Amino acid sequence: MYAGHAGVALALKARQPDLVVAPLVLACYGPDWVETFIRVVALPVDPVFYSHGIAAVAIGALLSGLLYRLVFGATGAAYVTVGWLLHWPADFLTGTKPLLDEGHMVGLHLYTMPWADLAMESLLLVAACALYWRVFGGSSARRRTIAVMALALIAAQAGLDYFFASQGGWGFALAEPARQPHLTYVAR
Amino acid sequence: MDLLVIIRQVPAVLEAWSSRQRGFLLALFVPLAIVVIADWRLRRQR
Repeated sequence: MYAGHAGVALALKARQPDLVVAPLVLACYGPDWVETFIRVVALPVDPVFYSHGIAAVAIGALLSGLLYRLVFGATGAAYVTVGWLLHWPADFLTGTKPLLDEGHMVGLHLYTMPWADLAMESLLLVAACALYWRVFGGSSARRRTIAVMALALIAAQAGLDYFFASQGGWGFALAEPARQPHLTYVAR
Repeated sequence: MDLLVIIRQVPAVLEAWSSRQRGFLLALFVPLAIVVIADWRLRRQR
């Protein structure tokens, strides 16, 4: 998932308006930042597993909540943890992500059906922005700002999906026998 | 002075990254920037 993570952040902020938005958005994209860091500094580990594996996501979520609590206080720290945790199920819908080891990636991989990915992430963004609108849209100027933000996020998503449109077919990972451990076991 | 030295090294560091790494990083900053700018505007419109 790409822009949809920002939608998750907006929905959480609508629920807890005192949250500081920058660290919240950073947390909702947390595993992606960790993956980028591992790639950039070229650590000798699997960047996807050590950022998006279940254990890595759980540890990152706990640490992000603790860090938020230390810097900004207790209010909202749990939401930051939840934002980091929700990254995995969101990514499950649009990509393939590791579970408990590096070998088995699962996910619906909607990135390979860009129109479906765009539709789903846009729907999520519209719903999140509607929640945000209800809480923060007190005047026409503010509602306009929220509408522009929603359009900008959907445009960013459309740009990514336009890029993915040139890639291959649908790779629904749960349906691939090679990635299903019980079938791998039978084959032996 | 130290900050200037660091800033001058930024282009060289970016040059060393692959286009995939640059794209990944840029893609992460776009939604962050959109939401932070919108939040900043909303706070000014109070």
